[in-house]
Amino acid sequence: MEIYILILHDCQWEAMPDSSPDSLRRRKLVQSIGLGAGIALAGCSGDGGDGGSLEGDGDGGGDSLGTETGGGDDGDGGSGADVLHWDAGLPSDEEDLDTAISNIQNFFEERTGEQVQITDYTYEDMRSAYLTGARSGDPDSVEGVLSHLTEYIEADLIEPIGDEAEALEWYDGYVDSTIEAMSYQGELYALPYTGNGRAMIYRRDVFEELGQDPPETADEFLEVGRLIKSETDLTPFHNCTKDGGVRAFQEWMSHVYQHTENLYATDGDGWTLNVDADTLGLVFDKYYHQVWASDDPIADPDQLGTGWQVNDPGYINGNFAMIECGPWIRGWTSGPEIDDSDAASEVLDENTAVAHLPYAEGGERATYLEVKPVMVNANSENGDLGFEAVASRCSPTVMEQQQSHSPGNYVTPVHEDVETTLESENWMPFTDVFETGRALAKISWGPVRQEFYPLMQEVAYGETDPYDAGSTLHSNLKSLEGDL
Amino acid sequence: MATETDAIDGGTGTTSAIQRFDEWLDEDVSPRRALAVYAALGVFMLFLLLPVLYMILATFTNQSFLYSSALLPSLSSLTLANYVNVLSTGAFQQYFVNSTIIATATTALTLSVGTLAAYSLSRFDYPGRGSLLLAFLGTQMLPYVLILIPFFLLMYTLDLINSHLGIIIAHSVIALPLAIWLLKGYFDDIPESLDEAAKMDGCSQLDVLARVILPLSLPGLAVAGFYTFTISWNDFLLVSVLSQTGATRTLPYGLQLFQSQNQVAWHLVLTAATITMVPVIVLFAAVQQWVVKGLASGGMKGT
Amino acid sequence: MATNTSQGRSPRYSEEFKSLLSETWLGYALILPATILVAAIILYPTVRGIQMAFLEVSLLQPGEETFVGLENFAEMANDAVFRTALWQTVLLTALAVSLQYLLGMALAMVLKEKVPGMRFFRSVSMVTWVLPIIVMVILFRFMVQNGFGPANIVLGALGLETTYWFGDPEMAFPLIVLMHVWRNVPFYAIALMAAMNSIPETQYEAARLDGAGALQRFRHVTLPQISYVSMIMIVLHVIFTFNNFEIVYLSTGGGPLGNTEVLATYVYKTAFETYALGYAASMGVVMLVIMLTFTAVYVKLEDTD
Repeated sequence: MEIYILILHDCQWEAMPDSSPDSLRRRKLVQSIGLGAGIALAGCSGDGGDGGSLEGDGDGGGDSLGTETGGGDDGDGGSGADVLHWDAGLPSDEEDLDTAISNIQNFFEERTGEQVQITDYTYEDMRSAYLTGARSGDPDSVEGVLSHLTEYIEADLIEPIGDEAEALEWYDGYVDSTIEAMSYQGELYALPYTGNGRAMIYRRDVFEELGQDPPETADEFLEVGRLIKSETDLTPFHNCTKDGGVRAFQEWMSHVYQHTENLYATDGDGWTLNVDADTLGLVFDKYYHQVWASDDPIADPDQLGTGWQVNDPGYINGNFAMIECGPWIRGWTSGPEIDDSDAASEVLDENTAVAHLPYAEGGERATYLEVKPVMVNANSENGDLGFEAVASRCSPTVMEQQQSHSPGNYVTPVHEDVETTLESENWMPFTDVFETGRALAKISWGPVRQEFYPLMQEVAYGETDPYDAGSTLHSNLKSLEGDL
Repeated sequence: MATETDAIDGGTGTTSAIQRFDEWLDEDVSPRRALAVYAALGVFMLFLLLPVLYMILATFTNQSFLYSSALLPSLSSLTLANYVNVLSTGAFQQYFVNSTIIATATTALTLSVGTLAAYSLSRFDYPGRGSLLLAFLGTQMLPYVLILIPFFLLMYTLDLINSHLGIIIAHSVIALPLAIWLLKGYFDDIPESLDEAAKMDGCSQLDVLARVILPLSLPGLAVAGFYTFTISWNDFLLVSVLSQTGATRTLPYGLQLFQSQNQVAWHLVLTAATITMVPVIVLFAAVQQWVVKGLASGGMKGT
Repeated sequence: MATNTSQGRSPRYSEEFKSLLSETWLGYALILPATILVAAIILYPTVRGIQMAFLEVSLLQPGEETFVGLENFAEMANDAVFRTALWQTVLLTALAVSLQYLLGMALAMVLKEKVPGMRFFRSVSMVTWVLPIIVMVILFRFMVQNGFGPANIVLGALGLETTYWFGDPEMAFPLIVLMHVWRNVPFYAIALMAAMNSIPETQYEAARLDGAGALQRFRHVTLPQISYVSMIMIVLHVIFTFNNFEIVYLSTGGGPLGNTEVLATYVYKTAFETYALGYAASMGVVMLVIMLTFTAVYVKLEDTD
């Protein structure tokens, strides 16, 4: 039984607890009352005034809510833009990002007189947001990687842009192989703005000191790696082994392409797996087992499970002797990831050379062709302007403007009017490498990636024999044939 | 705290210090016991707080320190440069503003709607009351991943994608069940004799809520409000689904983007993370007495 | 409640009766906004989610759905990754919640002591609980960086093995458990402390007079009186841990080698990597059923005690 003494004067009250010692709950109430005591109850005296008085009170839920959410409702396009473009291929440095965005916006505005809003993303987030949300009509255009292009076609989330594209005054200048990579069943679905082939990037100074040439075959690659390990302080090699990482998949595909035109070949309607189990095992063996998990690994096993975030800056900062990489690394000498800009410039400008990726027995020179597509949302209410956003992103004028902050994107330009940003002899082989590139087939790569990652990791972590993993992967990929 | 320090270094002689220390100890706490308590506290605080404190320390250093294998920076190397760098980033400022608007409005919406609901559950008797409360609490059991995609479609149909309002509503919905339950526990604690007395004095049911229940439940409102604010401020998943441009991104989502773009720039990532957590910690410091007490009673009580 | 406690206090029966009727409606009216808000947002996605569990539907073509009955559920039986994820989710939940409870209990015993400065410690101990998950993840990832993460610097100085622990197949899972524990111990501690504080001292004295030792007093006085709070805390955290997506997704993504894959992340990957929305939804339904069963059984057991 709780005892309270209530003193009421015209509905003004003070509550006082009795003085007997008691539980915590009582004490809490005492304190509560202390807090509440100041709040007088004037206003409900006499005739029991109904409701009404609720609003004016301090708690004020209703009121503050109205103004707050009212202000927030105009969420999309604070700038009053008409078109929304998503992009994960923009520079991460804030100043460069602003420049890159305004280059596109200015070009767009000149052509159309309208505004385009550009939102930057990471590829992973952008992909899931687009797959979930593109049916809402936003964004109007989207940048991506080739595997996204395929998924979006499959999901009817992007529309063919062949006619509009051909009407562009600069259309004929796009490099044929890149336009081909943007097409599916004779229809063009995107324009490219950057392209490259993956190459072996290595430390020329280290190789010269050891009297070595860049490796042509996988065995030479492993041999020179082990030599570097014993003769220098550098970690000989690093590649990406991150679960779900885009780069890991691309690096693996590069080596698969050395043995087959494509992982899956089409026979009219369906797709069949176009590689044998031994080859998959061989690729696992040379580039994952030997590199990471053998008795004499040439990568640093502490860096297992990392992605490009370790791979690229690691090389630039002078920790690795070889990586597999695209030309974007060329101009990357500043930014938060780089320990020392001068040292980075020295590594990249003077001490780096480029060669074809090494291939294992039975393979040939080939690599993953990366072309980045920019696409128009099929559900956009503003498809024409969406296309204009694509055209602006991929116009030679904008490409040349972007060279100042993203030189790496334009080493092997996808348009003939754009000059290469290459100045150094050492980097020239990228042009040859670009020509050996093979583009992803237009299948949904999600399930393939899903099969690849765990097996790749098992091999790299030394849990599974590479050839066993190869045959498991082979049968798993085989069983996907019907679903692609 | 101040008094504790006094006891240690103040005072004229050791005897008086000990005496005074004894006075601050409850009668039944022996110094030996107090020592054991402090030792245990020390272990727990190390476990809980050291990582956070270390992170804060690291934000005042530069990258070369972070990448060295030294544990402590020299005093002279401490700098505010990271804060200047992160805080001057336009996108980050925008996310901060978004987070503040969304979390504040979510708290206001949840508290107002939740107070009415809790009052109803606490003071009214009607068929279905118990099952309503259970239904509210039951929604806490839903795995978000199950409802994510239909949830997006629904919000799209309601035109609530990429707007502050949509995120506010979504956050309110996930915070409401526990907020109602906490508030109800608080209201239940207030003796109904107070209601009766107020009614006898002419107050209507709503007056009772406004003039008796609410003033007495300020600690409860603080707890529920803080809980709601934290839910909204900290949410990542729902914002990642509902936001389509920088105009609606909140700090946790922006932070995830920032850290995947700058994975090696630990000095900046840690600074951004620290700035993200500061508002909830400051808010917590402001209401902590009530939160600790509120958890200590309210919904947690055993009746 | 409010309406039937004032028997005989004043001669206002008829008024009371009238207000009883109108108050029932007022009661409904007051709870209506919250109900509408929650129902409008939660109901459709839940119903649709459960419905999808019986369909074959692709993320890429969400408009085309085929009813497949229980096929999705049958598929789980042959899905090794699902079994691993289920086991790891259960293990994670069991480990995390029991460690949280034990450590939280220990911390509660410390925090309830009345020594100077305790109020300060009670407050600061709650800090980990209010951190955004992404901040916690960044913090932990920084701590265990190889070469320069403070945890590894300390281990290295002690001559122990160092590595990036989130990338280590053996250590990633314990690290996930640790994050759950670290985050929630203070919440348990404060709640349990409050429950302990509300036990009247007289009961302990009575037990002491009966010759009960410290352990026995804990067993027979403390434990029974904190069982309600314990139940609340355990149920809340089992649900939270079992369904939690962000901690694993943001820290390891389920790797390395799938060693930290839990149901929530596997459901997400199934939807977004293999596009199998129906199958993903069916696993979500299994999660829901497990949680409902757990809660119902626990609450029932607690009631009968």
